[in-house]
Parts: sequence; C-alpha cells; structure tokens
Amino acid sequence: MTSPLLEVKDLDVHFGALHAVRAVSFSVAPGETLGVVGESGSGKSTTMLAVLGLHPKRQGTVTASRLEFDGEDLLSKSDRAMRDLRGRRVGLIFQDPLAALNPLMTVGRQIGEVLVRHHGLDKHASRAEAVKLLERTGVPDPLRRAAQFPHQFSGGMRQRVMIAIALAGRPELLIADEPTTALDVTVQAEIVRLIRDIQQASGMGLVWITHDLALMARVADRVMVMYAGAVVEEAPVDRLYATPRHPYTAGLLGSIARLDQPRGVRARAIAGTPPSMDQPIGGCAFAPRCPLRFDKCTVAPPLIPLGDGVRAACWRLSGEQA
Amino acid sequence: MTGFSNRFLIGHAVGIAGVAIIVAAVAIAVFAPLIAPVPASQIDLHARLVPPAFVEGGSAKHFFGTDNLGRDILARLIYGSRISLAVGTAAALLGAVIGSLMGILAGYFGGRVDAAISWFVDVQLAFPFTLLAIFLLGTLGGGFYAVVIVLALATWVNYARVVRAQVLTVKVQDYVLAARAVGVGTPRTLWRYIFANSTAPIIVVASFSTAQAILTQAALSFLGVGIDPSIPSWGAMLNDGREYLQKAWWIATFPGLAIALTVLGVNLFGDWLRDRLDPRSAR
Amino acid sequence: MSYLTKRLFRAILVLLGVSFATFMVAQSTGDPIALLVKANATEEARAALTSHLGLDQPVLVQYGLFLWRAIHGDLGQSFLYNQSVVGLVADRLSNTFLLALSAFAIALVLSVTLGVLAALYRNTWVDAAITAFTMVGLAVPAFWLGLMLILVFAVIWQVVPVSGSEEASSLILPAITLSMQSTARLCRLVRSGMIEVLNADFIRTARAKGLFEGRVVWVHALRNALLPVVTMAGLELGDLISSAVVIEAIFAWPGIGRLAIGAVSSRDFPLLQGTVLVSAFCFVVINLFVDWLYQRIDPRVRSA
Repeated sequence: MTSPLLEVKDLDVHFGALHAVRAVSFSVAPGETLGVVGESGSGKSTTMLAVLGLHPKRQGTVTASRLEFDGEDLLSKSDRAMRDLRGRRVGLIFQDPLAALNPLMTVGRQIGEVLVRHHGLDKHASRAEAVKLLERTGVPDPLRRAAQFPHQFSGGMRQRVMIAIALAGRPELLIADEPTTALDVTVQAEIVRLIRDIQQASGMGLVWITHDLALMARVADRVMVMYAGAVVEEAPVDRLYATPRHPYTAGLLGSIARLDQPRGVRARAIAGTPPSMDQPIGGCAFAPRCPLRFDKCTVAPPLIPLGDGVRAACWRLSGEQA
Repeated sequence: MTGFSNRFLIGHAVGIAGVAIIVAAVAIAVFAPLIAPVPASQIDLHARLVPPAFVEGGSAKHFFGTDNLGRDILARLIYGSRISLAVGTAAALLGAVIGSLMGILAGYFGGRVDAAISWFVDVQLAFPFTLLAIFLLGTLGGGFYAVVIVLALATWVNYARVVRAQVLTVKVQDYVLAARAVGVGTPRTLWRYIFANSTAPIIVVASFSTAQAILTQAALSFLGVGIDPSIPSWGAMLNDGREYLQKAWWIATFPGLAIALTVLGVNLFGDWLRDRLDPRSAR
Repeated sequence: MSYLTKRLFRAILVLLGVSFATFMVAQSTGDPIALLVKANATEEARAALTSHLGLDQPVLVQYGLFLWRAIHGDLGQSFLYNQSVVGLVADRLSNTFLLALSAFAIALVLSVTLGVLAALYRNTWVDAAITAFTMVGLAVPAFWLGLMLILVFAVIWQVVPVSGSEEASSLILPAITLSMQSTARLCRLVRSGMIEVLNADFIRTARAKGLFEGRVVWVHALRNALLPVVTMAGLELGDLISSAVVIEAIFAWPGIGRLAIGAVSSRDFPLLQGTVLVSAFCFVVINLFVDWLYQRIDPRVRSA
C-alpha cells in the first residue's frame, strides 16, 4: 500500500454537549475510493467537514490523535493554511447543488473565483478556464452557460457545475457528500460515471459519502460503516457485501431491496432508532437495536481487526480476532 | 449549549420587563387621579419653569419641574399617559377589526376580491402616512375618534396580511374540505379555525401596531394636529417644551422619555411573543 | 407581460386610486367658491366661476377634469402663496427628498455595518449591544431625538446650526435624526438576513473553496442578505418621507411637511391636496424604480 493521502486517527467532534463524532479513524490512499455509509445523523458529513476545518470554531471542537494530509499535520495548521488547502488540494461536492451554489453569481464566476484564489489567474483567464471546466464536466454550450445563474440549470447540470468548482483547484483528494441523492435516478447514473471517470483520469483520492448501499457497491474500493458517530465496520467492498461482520451492517444490507431476491421476501428495516447523541452512550451504541446483544455489550467494543483489512466493532467477533 | 439557554433566559427576562412596563403604564393611566400630586391643568403662575427636584434650584414640590404656566410636569406626564395608551390601543383594535375582515375576504374569495384589496393596500401605502394624516385630520376635522380612525388606517394592513395568509392555509385543510363536502357552511368553519390559529400572530401584530400608533399620535399632537392641545398628552407637552428648550430643557425631555419607555415596553413584549411563537425567528 | 410592464400597469392603477381618494377627500371640504370669491360677490359672478371651474358638473366628470388638469401639471393655485401648487410643491419636495435620501444613506451604511457585525458576533456582547441599540432606536420618537440633538449640539456645544437650510452642515442633525428609526429597522433586517445566509449551503461551498473570510462575508453572504433590504427600501423611503414631515417642523427645514402644516393652519386646501398628491406620485415612482433595481440584483426575478 502506498502512503496514505489522508490519515485520520481518533477524531472526535463535540458541539457543546453533543458528541457528534466518536474516535473515528480511517485513511485514504491516492487513487482509492473510500465509501462512507450510515444513516443521516450518523456523523458521516460531520467527520469530513471536521477534517477540512469547516466547523466554526465557536460551535464545535475537533480533536484527534492524528490528522494528516499528505504527511502534513492539519490540526496545527493556521486558518490561512487551511484555506490554502481547501479548494486547491481538497475539493468538495455537496448533496443539494441548488442550495450549494450562490444564487446571485454566474456559475462562471463561481468556478473562476477558485482559480483566482488558488492559481493566481486574472478575471479574464479564470473565465476562459471556467468554460473549459464546464466543458470537461459535460455541460453543453459551456461558453453561454458560464454567464448564466444557477437557477437556470437543471439539477444534474447544477451538480456538474459543482463538480467543476471542486475540480478547479486540481485537487488530490475529492470529498463527495451524497452527490447524487438530490437527483433523478437517470441523472444519478451520469453523475456517478462522471465522477468515476474524472477520478480515473486524475488519480485523485476519493471519499464518497452516501446512504445508498447499492450505489456504494459500484463506486467504492473500501467501505466504512458509521453508526451514532462512530465507525462500526470497515472492509474492502466485496468482503463487506459478501460477509458483513457487524450486526448493523448486516441489518443495513438486509434492509435494501434486491432484484435477485426471491419474490415475497420483503426488505427488513432495523427496528428502533439511533441513540440520542447529546448524552453519553454507555457500552455499544447499537446494542438497544441489536438482535445479537448479550451481557458484554454494556461495554463499548473496540474495532477488532479480522484480517484482509476488515475491522468491526462487535464483541461477538472478539473470539475470531486476526 | 449554554449559549442557547442563556439567550433563552435573557429573552424571557426581557419579555417580562416588557410586560412589567406595560402593566405599570396602564396602572398609571387608570389611577392617574390617585397618583398625580396635583391636577394636570392646575396653573401656578408663581411657580413657572421650576427645574426638576434633582437639579439645582429645583423644588421637592415639583419632582420633574413645571412648565411655562407653572403646571406640574409629573402630573401632566401621568395624565398624558391616558391619551397615548387610549389612542394606541383603540387604533390597534380598530385596525385589527378592519384588517382581519379584509384579510378574510381577500383570502377566502381570492381572485378579484383579493386583487381589489391589495390594490387598496397599495393605494394607501403610496401616501406618506404623516402627510395623509395631516390631510385627513386637516380637511375632515380632528378629535379623539378621528385620530383613532386615521391611525387605524396605518395599522390594518399588517393584520390583513397575517389573516389572509392564515385563511389561505386553513382553506385547503382537509377538515374544511370535508365540512364543505357535507354541506356545512365554509364561512362558519373558516371563522372558527382561523381564529383558533391566528389569535397569537394577531396579538404580535397588535403589539407592534400599538407601539406604532403611540409614536404617530405623539407626532401628530406635536404638530398640533388631531387631539385638542388643551388635553394633556405627551406629544403636546413636547410641543410646549420646544419653545423653552434653551431655558427649560425638562419640559420637552421627560415626555419624550415617557413615550420611549412605553414604546420600548410594548416592542419588547411583541418581540418576546413573536420569538416564542416562531422559534425560527428567535435568533 | 414582462415583470416591469406588470409593475408599470399596477403603478398606474395605484395612481388612479391615489388621485381619486385625494380628490374625494378634498371635495368634502365644502364649497370652494366661498373661499375663492369675495363675500360681496354677485350671484352672476359666483355662477360664472362655478361653471368655469366645472363645479356644476357631476362629481365623476369633475374628477375627470381634475385628473386631466393634474396630468398637464395643473393642480390649481395656492390661496396662501398665490402661486401654482405644482411649482410650490416641486420646489419644497426637492428639499424633503434631499433630507430623506441623506437619512437613507446614513441608515444604509449604519444598518449594514451594525447588522453584519451583530450577525458575525451573534450571541456575544457585541450582538447584545447592537440589539439593545436597535430596540432603543425603534422606541425613541424621532422628533424628540431631534430636540435632544438640538439641545446638545446646537444649544450646549454650539457645533452645528439650530435650524434652516442655508449651510450644508444644517443638514447633518435633521438627517441623523430622521435616519434613526430606519437604521434600527434595517439593522434588524440585515442581522437576521445575514444569520440565515451565513448558515446557507453556498456559504459552506465558498469556505470549501478556500476563499478568504472577507470575501465569504462581504461578497457571498452580504449580497444575498441585502435582498430583503432592497425589497423594503421603497417602503422605508416612504416612511422616511413621512417622518421627514415631522422632522422638518423641528429643524425649520423648508420641505413639504412645513408646506402641508402651513396649508392646514391657513385652510389652503388646494395646496394641501397638491402636496399629498405629488408626494404619493413620487412614492409610486420610487417604488417602480426599486422594482427595477430588485430585478437587476436578483437574477431569479429577472427570468421569472
């Protein structure tokens, strides 16, 4: 394995009494796609925003025993240095492209300002470059479109604009936060293909956040499953889908409808709801909903390495530690 | 989340302060004859332009001093609260009646009725209000009721907006449609549900309208338009004090403070109420 | 119909309503002939003037005549000044506009600065102080504030003239006085708009792009937060003109307010009517301009 592009160890995020992210560790290598799954509120987005220092300091506290991008410590970086990193070395794509674009600015300028900020282009040059980026992300008639405003674009086209913004700085890492959730199904496939093509061409590291397990199976190399702000399982994609180790992962996979399933077998949802995050969670966070819980679950389980890059946080697996 | 709860508590304290100011002002107005040291219009030419008690040359007999005719400022302030509060609340109430009715008509009938009412609103808003008030009171005559009616003109639009929006939401609710389907009169249903749902926002609008009416009434009295200037009112006192600004600053100063404090109380109450009703606005 | 055509059409309808309302109120002031002719005038003279002015016609015809003359810039003669009403009002209105626009400029600068600060330092003492300032600003009667400013700056310190319009510095106190309420109202609007916009997704995008905070706040957030301010600008300017009427009385500023009050006390109804009508006309035109401006600023309205 090459040295990781992004390495995170024991990341915690607090918003006052709310403990939103709990001891999360992961890494992303260049050219690799890490999928992050979990229900809404499981801390997926919060984790990524924290890595990039996008939580306002007055609202949240971020701590980690290790937070490195390309070998550089991010926690000790100044605000200015983090701003130099964001948009240039790390690009972000958000879920709702209409809300994520400034309604009062032409898309050309919104792409171009990244180039002005990070690559020292003047207004004229940045405009020309913005048109090229729109073309590259598959926006037809880019010269005319660059002068238009976000509301004049369709959902899929807006997401292409968003991708163009993220790519403008020529990033080494792209974080895509549910980039297709707000889109029509047919458009979803196009956007997925676009992001994958771009990644293959540029060799970027990619973090893909989603709650769509079917999509995850197609795009990710490795998958990290999050529950209640913590990682419950991490595994190479084929291992995860073939043999989910954590009961929560198994439950999630059981709850998606599969076409190859025999008729009459209904998708099962996991009973219960995730715990409230503003109180300390004693023991395993999933235990109250877990069909396999036993007396040991009152103590929080560590992530247990199970070989072949598989890790899962469940006491049931402690016997087969690798 | 200490920041949140602090702000929440401070919000409550501020709201209670507003209510306290309103209660105090109403009590003063109601019990004016019992509280006032002397009758408001009692002239004492031997004690003209006496400074307030806490200033050099002041007398304990006249706590806030006296005016150019030797009338006691404190007594006039106490009696003056009556006009301000009476006009303010009466105008807000009349505005509420007119505005609610217009809002219901606009929301319920929609189409041309709605367009006509919104045209009416636009026409009214096109007049600079003070000028319109001077015009109406100057041509049609003044007096307490005239002032109340003219000030209600300034406030009804706010109510109409709130009530119209409420009608539009309620109109399409299932229970109204169901009631209509079984032949129960829609106006009856609407009336009941609209008032169940819009009392709170109407009270919010009423508090801001009262504040607005108190300020405008004072301005009109200050200009000598509307209410008979011989009746003690804060606006008229300010007008009297204007002439003596250099010699006797206290005549104009205290009525202004009285207006500001009353309006502040009403506004604080209104803000607090709105924040409680709509947590989104409590930022 | 385009957005602006619709607006123009609406403005014309509003002006018709305004002129009709003004006309009807003025009608009720009684027989204008009694005011126009000497008490000992002959019956024939009265009748001649009545028919000359069209007063023997039905009310609607009279209104038509009134409108026809108004469109041609004839709103009658002022008894008090013995001049054409339109000329008088136009002259004074420019003074009122100077005052109102100066106050508006002050209000804009102050409210945007304070509103943005309050939003950025939300829930801190900065925010609390600015909020307290706006609450006081909303409660203090403008005319009283004017008197107090005169007391402090012109009587005690004697740094600015008490009243009049001869020097540029005589504009300072009335403009500040007039701006107070608008500043407070707009400040609250900017603050809440800014707080909402700063939480918007596109602000997160701007930060994710690595833009400097100055650009995020003053370019991305502020422009969006100002949209409600622009919407309110027309009404606010109307309010300023309305309040200017009172402020003019304090500072002896020769605007339409003093004209109107003079007209009331000398029962000069044509002048009063003209003052009201012309101010309303200007207000409608201002709002048309604001609509146009809004459409220039928000591209979503432009193509809607």
